[in-house]
Amino acid sequence: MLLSLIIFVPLLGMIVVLLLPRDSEELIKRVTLAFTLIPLALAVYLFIAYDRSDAGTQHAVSVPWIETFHINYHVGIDGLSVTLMLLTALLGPICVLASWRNIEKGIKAYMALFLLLETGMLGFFAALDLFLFFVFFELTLLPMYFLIGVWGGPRREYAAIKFFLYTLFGSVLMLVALIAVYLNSSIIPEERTFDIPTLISLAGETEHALADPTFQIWVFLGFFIGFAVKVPIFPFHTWLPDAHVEAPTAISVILAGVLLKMGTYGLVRINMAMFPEGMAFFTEVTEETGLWGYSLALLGFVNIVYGSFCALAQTDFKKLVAYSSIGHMGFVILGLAARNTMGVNGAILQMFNHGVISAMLFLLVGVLYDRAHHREINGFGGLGNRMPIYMGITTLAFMASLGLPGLSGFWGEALSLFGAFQEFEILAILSTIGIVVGAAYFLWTLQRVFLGKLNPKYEELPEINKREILTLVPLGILTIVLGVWPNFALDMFRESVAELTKLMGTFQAGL
Amino acid sequence: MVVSLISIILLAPLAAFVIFALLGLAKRSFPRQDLLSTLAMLVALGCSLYLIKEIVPKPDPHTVEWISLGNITLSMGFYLDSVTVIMLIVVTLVSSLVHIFSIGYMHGDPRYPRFFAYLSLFSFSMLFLVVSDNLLGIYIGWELVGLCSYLLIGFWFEKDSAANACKKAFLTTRVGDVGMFIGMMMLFTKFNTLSLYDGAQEGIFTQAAAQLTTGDMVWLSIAGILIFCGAIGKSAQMPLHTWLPDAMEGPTPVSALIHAATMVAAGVYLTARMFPILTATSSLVIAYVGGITAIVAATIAIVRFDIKRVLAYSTISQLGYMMLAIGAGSYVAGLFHLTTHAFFKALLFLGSGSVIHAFHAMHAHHDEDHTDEAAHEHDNHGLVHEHGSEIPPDQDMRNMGGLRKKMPITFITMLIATLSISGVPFIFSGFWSKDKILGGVLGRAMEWNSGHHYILFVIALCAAGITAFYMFRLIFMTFFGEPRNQEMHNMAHESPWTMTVPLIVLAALSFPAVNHLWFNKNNFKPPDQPHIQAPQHAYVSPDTKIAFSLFGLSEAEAAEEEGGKDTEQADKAHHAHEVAHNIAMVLSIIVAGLGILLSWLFYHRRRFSAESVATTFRPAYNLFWNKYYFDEFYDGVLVALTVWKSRLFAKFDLSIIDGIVNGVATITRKIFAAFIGFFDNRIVDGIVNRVAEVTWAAGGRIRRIQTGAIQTYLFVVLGGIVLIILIFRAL
Amino acid sequence: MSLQHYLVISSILFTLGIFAVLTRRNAISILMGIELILNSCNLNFAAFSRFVTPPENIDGQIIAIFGIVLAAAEAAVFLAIILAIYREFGSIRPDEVDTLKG
Repeated sequence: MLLSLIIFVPLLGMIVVLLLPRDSEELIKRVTLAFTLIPLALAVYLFIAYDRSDAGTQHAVSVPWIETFHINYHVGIDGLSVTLMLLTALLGPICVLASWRNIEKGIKAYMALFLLLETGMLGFFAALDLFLFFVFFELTLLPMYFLIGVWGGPRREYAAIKFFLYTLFGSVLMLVALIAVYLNSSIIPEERTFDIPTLISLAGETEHALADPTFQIWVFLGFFIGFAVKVPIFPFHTWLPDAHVEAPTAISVILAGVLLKMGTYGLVRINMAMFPEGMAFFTEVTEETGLWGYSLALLGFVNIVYGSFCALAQTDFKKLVAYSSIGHMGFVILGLAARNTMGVNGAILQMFNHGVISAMLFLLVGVLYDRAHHREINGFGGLGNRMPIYMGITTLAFMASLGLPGLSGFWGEALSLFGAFQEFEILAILSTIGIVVGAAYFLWTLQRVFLGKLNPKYEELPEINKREILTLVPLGILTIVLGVWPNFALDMFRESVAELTKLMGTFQAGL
Repeated sequence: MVVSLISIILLAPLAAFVIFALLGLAKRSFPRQDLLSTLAMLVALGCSLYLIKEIVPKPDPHTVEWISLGNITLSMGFYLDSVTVIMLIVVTLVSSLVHIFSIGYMHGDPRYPRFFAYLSLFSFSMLFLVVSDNLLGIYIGWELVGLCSYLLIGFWFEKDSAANACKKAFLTTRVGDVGMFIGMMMLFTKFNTLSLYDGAQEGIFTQAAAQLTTGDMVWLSIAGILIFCGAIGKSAQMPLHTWLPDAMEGPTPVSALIHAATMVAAGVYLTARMFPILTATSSLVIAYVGGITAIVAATIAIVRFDIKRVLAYSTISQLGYMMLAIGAGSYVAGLFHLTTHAFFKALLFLGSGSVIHAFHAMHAHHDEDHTDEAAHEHDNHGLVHEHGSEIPPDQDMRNMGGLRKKMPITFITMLIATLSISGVPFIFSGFWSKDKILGGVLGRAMEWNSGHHYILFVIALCAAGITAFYMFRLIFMTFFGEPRNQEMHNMAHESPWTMTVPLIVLAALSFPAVNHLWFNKNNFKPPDQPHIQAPQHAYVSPDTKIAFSLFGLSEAEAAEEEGGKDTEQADKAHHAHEVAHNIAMVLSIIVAGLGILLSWLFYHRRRFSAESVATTFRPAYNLFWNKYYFDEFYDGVLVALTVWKSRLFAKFDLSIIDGIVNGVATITRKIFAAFIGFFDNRIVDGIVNRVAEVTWAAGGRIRRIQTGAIQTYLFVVLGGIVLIILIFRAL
Repeated sequence: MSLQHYLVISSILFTLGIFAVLTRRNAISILMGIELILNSCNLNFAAFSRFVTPPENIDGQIIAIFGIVLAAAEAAVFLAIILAIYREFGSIRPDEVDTLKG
C-alpha cells in the first residue's frame, strides 16, 4: 500500500497541477515541490524501515489487472529497487528546484509532465509483473520526449525524436522477448503468467521451456538490446549526448540520474535473474561459448575507454559530462559481467553513485549555463576567483566522478573492477585506462573553466545562489557519506545480490 | 587508548578543514583559520609523541569491518608499530612547523584561510595513510594527499604555470596509482584480503610468506612491482618524476611539507611497508629504478638556477636513494634516511622560502610605489628565460649572493641542512643515514651472485658526490660572494620570528644528538614483520642496530632483538656487512669532501669557470639542462597521442557511429518511407479521397433541396406525414 | 354535444392553423397559425378526457392547461426571435430569411 502511494502520489500531483490556473506559476511550482517531497519522505521511510537481512520482496501488493492475460498489478521492493527508488525520489524535488527559474514557458505543462515522469520511474523500479514493468518503462518515454522536445535547446526536436525512436527500437525487441517469455511460461494457456518472481523460479526448473539455453540466449538478447539502448551501451549510445545537450538542466539530471539506471536495473532484474543461462553464455568463457563469453565484459570495457576518450575531446561542457556518463556506466556493465559478489555489488553501488554524481555534474553545468548562456569550456577561464563556492562544489563533484577514494565514485568503480579482475583479468586491467583518462578530462576542464586569469567577460558573473546550493548540498553530502561509509548503501542490497548470485550459480560461499 | 589517540590525531586536522568548508558554504568569513589549523596540528603532534609509550613489540591491528559483502570483508583499521610512530612524528612535526612558518610566509595572501584549510586536509590524509593497516586505507590516503597536492600546487591558480603544474602532478601520479590499483586487485584476487597484518583472517604478509613454499614467485613479483608503481608516481621516481619540479609552482611551505618531507616520502614508506612481499626480482627492479633516479636527478640539479628547482631535483635524487636502499634490502636504512631527509629537506625548502620571502616583500613594496601599468611592466622585467620555462626573479640564484650577512639565521640553518645532506661526517644526521644506505647497497652487491650489481653502489656513490657539489653550489651562489642584483639585495631582510623559529627547530633536528633526545624511550621496539626472503634478515640486522642506536636503543638491546636469528649464515653475512660498512663510510666521506671542494673551487674561489666546463661538455650539459628531454617526450608524444586519440574517437563517434544511426534514419525515411508514402498517398489515401470526392459532388447536387424557406420545409413535412399516413393505410 | 362535435371543431381549427402556417407571408400570422394548431390539440385533450375516460379523471384537462402555458411561453420566445430577425434582416417575411439555403 505504501509502495503504491509512493508511485501514484506524483500522478495525483499531476492532476492537481493540471487543475491549477495557468497563470499562478509560483503556486504551481510550490504544489509540484510538495508532491515530490511526499514520495521522498515515504522513500526515506521505506529505506530506513527496509529489513536489511531479508533478501526477499517486501511491501508486496498484487491485484489482478487484466485478467485475460493474467496481468497483475504486482509491486514490491528488494534492496536494489529501494535504493534506486530513494535515488529517484531524491532527485525529484531537486529537479523541481533546479527548474524554479529557468523554465520560461508553459511551467504548468512542464511540471505536470515531470510528475508523470516521476510516477513512471518509481513504478518501474517497483514493478514485479513483467507487463507492468514494460508499461512503466514506456511510461517514462512519453513525458521525456515532450520535456526535451518542448523545453530543450535549439536542436530539441532532433534530439527528442532521436531519443524516442532509439528507445522505441529497443522496446520493440523487448516486447517481442516479453511475449515469447509469456507464451513459453506454460503450455496451458490458463497457466501462463507475467509474474516476475514466478518466471524466475520457473526458469530455474530443469526441463522447463524457459530454462532452455537456446531460448534463454535469444530472449536475453531481446531484453538486452532494449536495456542497452537505455544504459547506453556502445554502439547504442549516440542519442545520449544529443539528448543531454538539448535537454533543460533538470531533465538532464533525471536522464543521467535515473533513466540510465533503468537500463542496468533491467539487466539485473530481468536478464541476470531470469535468464542465467543466457547471461552465462555472454559472460563465461567455456568451450561452448568461446569468444562470446567475453562479449559483455568487452562491451563494458569499450564503454569505459570509448566514453572517456570521447569526453576528453569535447569542448561543450554538457557533452563532456554526457560522455563521461557513458564511461562510468561502463563500470556497471563490467561489474555485472563479472557476475560475482564483488562485481555485482560494485555495479549496483556504481549505479547509485553515478546517479548522485552525474546529477551533481549536470546541475553544476546548468548553474554556469544560466549565468553565461553558453557551455563552451574554452570560453571561460579563471572563474575560480569569481565563484569560489561554485568552484569548491564543482571540484568535489569532479573528484567524486573521477573516482577519488573517500568520495562515493571510487567504491563503485573499485568494487566493479575488483570483481571483474577475478573473471576477466586483462579487460579489467585495460579498463583502468578509463580511470586515468577520466582524471585527465575532468582536471583539464577544471583548469580551463576555473584556473588561470579571469576572462574579462565574466568579471561580473554572480556567485552560485542559495537555491542552487540547496539543490547540490544533499547530493554532496551523500557523495561524502557514501565515500566514507559505503556500507550505508551496500547494506541494502547485499542480501539481494547474494540471492541473485545464487540464481546465477556464482555465489561465493566462504572464501 | 591507542585508538582514541590516533582518532584525535586524525580528527583534529580534519575538523579544522571541515569547519573551513562549512563556513565557506555559508559564505561566512574565516576568523583565524590559521590559528585553528596550527592548533589542530600541535594537538596531533602532542598525541603522536605520547604514542611512543604505546608501542608494543607485536601490535594488534585495530580494525572495523568497512565493506562487508557477505563472505567478503574489507576491514579498515590502524596499525601502530615503530615505523608508524616515526612517520606520525615526522609528519606532525614538519606539518606543525610548516603551519607556523606559513603564518609569516603567506601573510597578506587573499586566500590566506584557504591555505591553512588545505594544509589541514593534507595533514589528515597523510596521517591516515600512515596509520592504515591495509592497502585500501593506504590507497585512500594516497589519493587524498594527491588531491591536496593538486589543490596546493594550484594555490595561485591565476598563474598558468601553476594551473598546468597542478594538473600535471595529479595526472602523472595517477598513472602510477593505477599501477598500484592493479597490484591491489592482484593481491586481493590471490589472498582475498587487503589487510597487511593478521586480523580476523590471515593478512597479506602471512599469506605471501606461505607463497614462498608453493613457489609461484613470478606472480608475486609482478604484484610487488605494480604496487611499487604507485610509489614511482608519488615519490617522483623515473620515469614519472617530471611533475615534482613543476610542483614548485606551489607556495614554498607546501613544497617543504608535501613535496619534500611527507607526501613524496609516502612512496618510500609504502615500499618499506610492503617489504615483506617483495621478491628478489621486484627488489632488484626497485633498486635499479631508485639508483637511476638518484643519479639522473642529481645531474639535472647541477645546472638549475631556480633555487627551488635545485631542491626539487635534489629531493627526487634523495628519494631515489631511499628506494635504492629498500630495493637492496636495507629498508630500515631507507626509512632512516626518510626521517633525516624529511627534516633537513624541509629545512632547506623553508630556508629557500625565507630567501624568496625576503625578495618577495621587496616586490610587494615595489608594486606599491608604482601604478598598475608600472606593476604590469614589472611582470616582464627581469624574467630569465630558461628554455621556455621562466624563473621568477625572486627564485633565481643568479640574482642572489652575499645574503649571509643580511639573513644570518636563514644562512646558518640552511648551511647546517646542506652539511647534513652532503654527508659531512659524524655530527650530522644525513651522514649516518646516507652511510647506512651506501653500506647496505655495497653489502647487498657483495651478496648478489653476479658482480655487475656493483654498479648500484657506484651510482649511489656518484650521486652522493654530486649532491654535495650542487648543494654547496646553492649555498655559495645564494649566501656568499658579492650581491649580483644590488637593488634586490638592498631590500632583502631577515624573516619574522614565525619563520625563523621553525628553521631553528629543524636545524636542531639535523643533529643526531637531538634526535636522541627525541626518541629516547626504552620501549621503542623494532618492527616485527614476517619476511619471505630469508637472506634479507641478515641485511636488516646491522642497519637495524645502527638506526636504533640513533633512536636511543643501546647496541645490546638491538642485538637482543636480533638474538633469535643468530645462525651461522647470518653471522657470516653480518661480518660481510661490517666490512661493507667500513668501506662505504670511507668512500662516502671522500666523495662528499670532493664534491664540496669542487663546489668551493667553482663557485666560491672561482678557480674554474662553470661556463667553460659547460662549453667543453656541451652534449652532456644540454642533456642535463633539458632534463633528459622527458618533458618534451611526454608533451610531444604521450600527451599529444592521447589528445589525438581522443579526437579520433570523438570524430569516429560523430561521423561513423552517429553517421550510421542517422544513415539508418535517412534510409528509412528516403526509401522505406518513400515506398510506404507512395502506397499511402496513392492507394490508401486515394480510396479515401475518392470517397470524399463522391460525397462532395453528391452533396453539391443535393444541397439544392435546402431552400432556406421554412414554409417549404413545413410543406414537405406535411406532405411526408400525409404520405406516411397513406402508406400505413395501404398496409 | 357528442365527441364528434368537438373533434370536428378541433380539426377545422387544426386545418386553419396549418393553412396559415404554410401560406402566410408574415411571421406573426404564422405564429397565430401555430397557436391555432396548439389550441386544436388542447381542445382534443379536453374532449377525449371528458368523453372517453371516467369523469373523475381530469388528466386531459390538466394537459390542456399545460398546453396553454406552453403556448404562452412559446409565443414569448417566438416574438423575441421575430424581433431579432427583424433587426437582422429588416423584415419578418420568412421567405426572405433564407440564410440556410444550400
